Amino acid sequence: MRKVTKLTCLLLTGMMAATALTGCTNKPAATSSGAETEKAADQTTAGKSTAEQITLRFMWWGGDARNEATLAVIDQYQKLHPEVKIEAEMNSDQGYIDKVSTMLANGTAPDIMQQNVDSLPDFISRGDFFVNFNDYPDLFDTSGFEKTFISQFGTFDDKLLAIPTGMSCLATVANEDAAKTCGIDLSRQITWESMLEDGKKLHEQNPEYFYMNTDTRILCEYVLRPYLRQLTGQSFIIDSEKKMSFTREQLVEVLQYIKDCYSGGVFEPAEDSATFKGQIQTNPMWMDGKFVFAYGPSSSINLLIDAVPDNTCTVVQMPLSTERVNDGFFADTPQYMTVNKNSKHVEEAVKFLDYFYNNSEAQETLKDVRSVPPTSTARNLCAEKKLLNPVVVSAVDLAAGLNGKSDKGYTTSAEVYAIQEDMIESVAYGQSTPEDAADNAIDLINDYLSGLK
Amino acid sequence: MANSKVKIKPNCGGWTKRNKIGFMYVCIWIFGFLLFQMYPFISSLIYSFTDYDIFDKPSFIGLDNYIKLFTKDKEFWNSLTVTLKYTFITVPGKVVLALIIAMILNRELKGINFMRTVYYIPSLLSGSVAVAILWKVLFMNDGFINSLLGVVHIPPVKWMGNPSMAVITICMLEIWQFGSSMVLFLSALKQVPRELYEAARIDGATKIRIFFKITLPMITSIAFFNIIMQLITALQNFTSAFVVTNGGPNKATYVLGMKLYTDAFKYFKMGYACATSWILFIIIMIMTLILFVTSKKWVYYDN
Repeated sequence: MRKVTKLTCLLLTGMMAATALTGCTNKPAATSSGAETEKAADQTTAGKSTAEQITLRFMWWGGDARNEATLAVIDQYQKLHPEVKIEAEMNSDQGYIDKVSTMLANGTAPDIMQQNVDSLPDFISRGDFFVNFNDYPDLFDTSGFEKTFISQFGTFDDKLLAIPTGMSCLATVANEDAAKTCGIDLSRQITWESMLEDGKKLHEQNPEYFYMNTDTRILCEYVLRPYLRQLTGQSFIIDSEKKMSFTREQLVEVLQYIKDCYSGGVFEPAEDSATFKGQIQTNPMWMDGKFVFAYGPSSSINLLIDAVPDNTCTVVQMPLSTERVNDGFFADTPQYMTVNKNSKHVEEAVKFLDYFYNNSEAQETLKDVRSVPPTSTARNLCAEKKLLNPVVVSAVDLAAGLNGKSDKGYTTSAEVYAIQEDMIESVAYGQSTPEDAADNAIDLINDYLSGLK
Repeated sequence: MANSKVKIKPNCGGWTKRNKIGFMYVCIWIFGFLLFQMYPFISSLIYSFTDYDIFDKPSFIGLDNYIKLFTKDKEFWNSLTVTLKYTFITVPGKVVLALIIAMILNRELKGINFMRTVYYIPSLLSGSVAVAILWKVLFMNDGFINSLLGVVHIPPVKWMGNPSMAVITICMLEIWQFGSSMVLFLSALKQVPRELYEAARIDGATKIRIFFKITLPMITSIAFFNIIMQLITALQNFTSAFVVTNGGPNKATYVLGMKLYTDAFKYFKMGYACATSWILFIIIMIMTLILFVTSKKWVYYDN
């Protein structure tokens, strides 16, 4: 009896400890906004195969429309290729980059990954993680992509390491009804000066209205950097020289401009917009039609438009300074698709992406869930069948005529982005003067540049 | 006669059968401790002396991370200030509130067990991301809390947009989860001898005097425990700052936990983040030691 009791206790203790240890799983936890759903549980290997079936893992982020369309394309491919099973890993955009970096570092990255355009250059500079599509000319057809576009987006040191998912741009969405109420002429080209003057006047005459719906993070990409690019003709950081392209005075000028916009009522006070950072379409003032304009990428301006169903929206050209040396703004891609170089089924993954981009049924299913399609065949098909949102097409058309160059690279690394955001916040909250904020930022950027390998 | 010469040695240790069985019981825990606590503990110390971006192999750089932390990193001092501010609001707030509620619930009334359970439940959700998201929604500009304030004609507060209020908002989340401290205080209150209260009443002591002269001294040992545990937890806070305010606005809630997470996983400076974590560990150790040393003056133990 005594021996049985001891043995029982030992077994129970072991089971308890084993249960506690298995609670410490390396399975990623749900991100803070939106749930991460997975169609299958296996994340510990990049892909597995049996004699009969190949399994690929495909990871992306997006809203409901993008998820549905992408899952539909996966279903189509699996029906055509029963030997291939694709495990979909849908994510929220929040925390996505952190997740990808950890997976790349510990070798658990999926076979196919959607990538953020700001962070991909940083990953590429830190290791050889991605397949060069140029090595698979028979499996992936690039003829539908414009050579200039694909050489600027996706090609790094002559290697095609990522495929752009669409043609996109930064967009200024205009609520036509709010513009009419506030007497804003949407046919007039916005300049930085007119934005400040019109915005101040608008808010003085209509205190419950504001000119622009934005947040401190959006301002980095939509005001701070383009303003400087229009002054200097260069990226915020010139990657080839590892130095800043602007002077202290130029940085002070743009920070003063942003401060004036906040104090003049062009932007909603930072304290009020902080709650909706990253989700400006959920700002009740936007939903009530109290903003005339809002900034957003063309790949998701539908979120802004859908939030004001009772109002008519359009897009207008981005602000252009009358004394600019360069337009600053440019046609871009919203995301990239990459194939993990350590995947056990590189060729199958590349073949799937070829279907994803070049097959007509896939093109028709995907439509503009990742902005205007990147291939001419897809664009023609979608235009013919009227599948593209005309507002999105207008936004991309407006950007297509601009001569700005992409500034992705050191400029958009997480640390430099944070420095940009911090200096904007410090002037927006009145914590620093533009001069102090500029000096502090320049110190931090110099420190970052000195640490680059 | 023969029996008087037999000495029974006590089991003082050594690899006896009894000790072997005991070791078998704990070896699984020891394995988990070594793998999930000791290994990261020692690894982080080693990495703190290296330049390590998680993609390449670490390269030894000596004390450079620590020197940079103290001499060049202004964000470190901001994060330290925010962390200390958070701690010195949360810990007294939580302990005092737990004591007050414990005293109210230290009665034999109908339904008192149910009330004790209700007040305990929030502490079960400690560190929960779901609760932090709920908190964020409650404290939005047009959230439930501002609606309640509107009912009594108080203007809305920018709980998360105002840098001064944001840290209060995340402190309130932690203070709300006072249940575990409350339960400990409850058990301590029940152990205060009734005779002391009776004697004090007979002597004509007021309730306030009874509280400060009898109740409080008798429960100082549990209060000490609560303060230590809450201090350690508060100094390591991450979830509420990350989920509710994401370190903002304007770095007003950018606690050290967030800074080292950002350095490690966003800026790929794992070595630097490990150095920050060790500085945080040393700060916690110093504060704990101070409490232990000063406890001799104010903590009362029955024995």
